[in-house]
Amino acid sequence: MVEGLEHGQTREWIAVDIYDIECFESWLSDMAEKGCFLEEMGRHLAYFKKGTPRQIRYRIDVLSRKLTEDELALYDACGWHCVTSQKETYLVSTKVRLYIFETDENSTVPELHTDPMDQAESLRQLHQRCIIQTWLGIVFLPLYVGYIMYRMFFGDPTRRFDAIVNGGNYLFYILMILTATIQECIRWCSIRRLRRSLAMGDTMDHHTDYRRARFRYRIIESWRLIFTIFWVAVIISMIVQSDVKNLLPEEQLDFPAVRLQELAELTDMQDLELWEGEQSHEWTGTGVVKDHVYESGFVESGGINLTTNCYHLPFAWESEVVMEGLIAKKETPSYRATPIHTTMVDEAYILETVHAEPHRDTQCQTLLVRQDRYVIEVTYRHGSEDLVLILPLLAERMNTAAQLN
Amino acid sequence: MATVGPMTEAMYYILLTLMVPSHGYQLMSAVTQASHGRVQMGPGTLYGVLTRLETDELIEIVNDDGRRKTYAITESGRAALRMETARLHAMLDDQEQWKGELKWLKD
Repeated sequence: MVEGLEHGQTREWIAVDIYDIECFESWLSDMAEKGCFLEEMGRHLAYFKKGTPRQIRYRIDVLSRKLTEDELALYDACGWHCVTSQKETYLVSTKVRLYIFETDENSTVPELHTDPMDQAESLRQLHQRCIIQTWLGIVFLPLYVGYIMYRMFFGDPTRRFDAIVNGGNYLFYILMILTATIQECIRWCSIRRLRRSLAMGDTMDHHTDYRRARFRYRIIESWRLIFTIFWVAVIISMIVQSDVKNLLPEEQLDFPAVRLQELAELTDMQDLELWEGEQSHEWTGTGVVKDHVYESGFVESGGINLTTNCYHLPFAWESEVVMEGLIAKKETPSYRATPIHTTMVDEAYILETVHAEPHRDTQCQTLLVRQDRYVIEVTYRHGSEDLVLILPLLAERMNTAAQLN
Repeated sequence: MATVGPMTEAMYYILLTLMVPSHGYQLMSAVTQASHGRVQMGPGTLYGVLTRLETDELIEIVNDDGRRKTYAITESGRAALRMETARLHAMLDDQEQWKGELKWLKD
């Protein structure tokens, strides 16, 4: 147990799902026998007041509306004190309220529910909600997974690119929906079993053995907690590892790229004066690492800039999809992609403006290169030098990086 | 209005006693009185049945001052009560007739 904030109060993880009504009541009674009396309940934690151990009867009443003060007073007059209530909301339709009442075990007050068949009826709405929630998950989950699979394998290239590079949150949603669906299914089975038993005229066992229910609930809640913590860690990692900083001309890069100075040397560019540089590093939730570098400079004819995006993918097959996606994103009727026939890398394309007399301001070339798990996109603006001349140097660096990683 | 099948004891006595509009506490006492102490209704059963009867339009709230609700039986409720009473009478008549048959066989 962890000591709570208030004097004499303690809190514990909820051990059993409240929808497992018999087990939940049994658990609360056992807690009372240990001197812990329920005061409040959250989604995951229950707050207990410490006191002298005694035997308490706890009962859960399921209602489709909020009880008025007068109605609660009637419960009290009958010997049942309202401890707390929990409102359940669902994707579809109305809310349900779960009230927790208590009375001394040895008191002679009649049970909260004196007719098992009427009690079975009172659980009908809760039962229906569980069925609906379960079926929504069963129907929606495969549709969602199918939609993601379609985007990744059969969608148009730009969507496939987005799914691979930016699709980390899809996995989170799938796991979340799967966990919720499994829990709703378990709840459905629990409520159905109880209703059938009550409808046959059997009364509830308020001191049932809840160890199995507790084990099952802890598995689900632990799983939910672990993957939530994992996803928070992923997001924090993405934020921490993603940074943008200035790039100095002499600074070395830790990913394959060709610098503007090197382009100038390879193309006999004269009088290059380097201006500003910037680099960034981004790690996505899907494991894709994206490095970016931007450099600008000035030559006699005016300003030029070179932008490099390097995608390092976890799987080799993804590089083909990313390459195809980049071509689809970049290519337009006036900016066409031409394959480069080379054995230096797996695949290479050059995109150039197809105007008859391209103006300097609109001059742009993009070199797309794929090697193993790397895809590099190099864009050169406002310069007339042939960008393909950097391919051998770029290929050498990509091959070195591919061997090291 | 929902089709009403055989009623539970709680439903029957609540409909019966709501021939006189009542709120929760009065209702509980009235049911005990009407059943000559045989039916002791818990508050959970009371409000569960009231909610269902209201949904099925067999009863209605005739006064709600925010703190206390007063219920009364509707025409549909009266019809359902008559049907249930007739059913119970029919069962008793069947029992009497059957007892008569058995007696004849023994003789």
